[in-house]
Amino acid sequence: MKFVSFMKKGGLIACVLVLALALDLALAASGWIQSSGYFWLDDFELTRRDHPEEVWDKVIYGSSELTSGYREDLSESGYVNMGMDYATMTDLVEILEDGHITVGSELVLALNWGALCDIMDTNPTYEWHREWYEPYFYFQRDRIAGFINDTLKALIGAGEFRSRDYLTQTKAYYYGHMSVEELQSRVTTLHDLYLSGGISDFRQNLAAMNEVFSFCAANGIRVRALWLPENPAVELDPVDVEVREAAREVCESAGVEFYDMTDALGADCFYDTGHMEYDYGSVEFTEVLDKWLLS
Amino acid sequence: MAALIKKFKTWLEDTPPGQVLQAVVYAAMLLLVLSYFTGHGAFIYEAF
Repeated sequence: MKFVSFMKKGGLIACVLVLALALDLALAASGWIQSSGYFWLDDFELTRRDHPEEVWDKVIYGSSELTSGYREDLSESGYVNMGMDYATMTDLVEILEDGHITVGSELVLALNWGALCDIMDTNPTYEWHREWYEPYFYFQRDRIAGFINDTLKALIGAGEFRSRDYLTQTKAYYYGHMSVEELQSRVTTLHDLYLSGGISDFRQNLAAMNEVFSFCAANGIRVRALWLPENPAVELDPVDVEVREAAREVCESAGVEFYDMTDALGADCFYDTGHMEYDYGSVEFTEVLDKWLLS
Repeated sequence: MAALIKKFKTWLEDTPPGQVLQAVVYAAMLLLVLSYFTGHGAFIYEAF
């Protein structure tokens, strides 16, 4: 009974830790959370699901304004739309340097003040936010705990088992148009939340652009930048303009082409201040953008 | 019932399969504890 003796001398604790670690690694490696359909997926996971290939040859990266703006299904330029909620340039540095994606030949940065804002919330489920010491169960705790709760409730008849609805989940698109009052209210809200601190709240992300450029130079990737269109129905925030000009300067200093699309679209193309309306505005945007992307 | 529980406890403590079962159950509990730690806090999606 050597085994029993070993376990009684502390082996049980060691085995528990080893088993927990093994199960944790197994869950992470299986990709079950992303592929089962039982869990809401973030925009990075959705992009991965729709583009399972190892190398993405041409990528356009930006925040949610890009997600709803660039219509991959209509575009002839063949870029992967890597528009993601709360995506910033500092995120992109981590994504590239830690190998979360492999870009083939071209990278386009779709910029706006949101993609350069240092003080905005992020989506905590993005995989690059997991620290090396964080167990996968802990990193995914919000999703796993919700799944277990739902399952337990279903077992006692207090709810329903989760279906695999998330298999058909798409990114968030925008339809319709905000009224003038709603737009004004949004402008005030965004200013108070993110722009009132001035350009000093954008320094880290502006600096991160140079890190992206260096990475691209080292890896033979052609990089360009564009400033996303903004709704002409509302006056541009002075900080927004200041950030745009700072981004232009960063690009020009690095010899990177900067395509300014601020005034490229009419108000009828927008849902709000920057998100394009999916049925019309995005189609117009994609058509205009494609000409540049193909150049 | 008490005799059955005693027999089960003895099996858990004194046999290799019992020890393995204990390790598995404790490991599962450890992972559940990790899953039920306070989440990242309220994540507000309406900002954008």
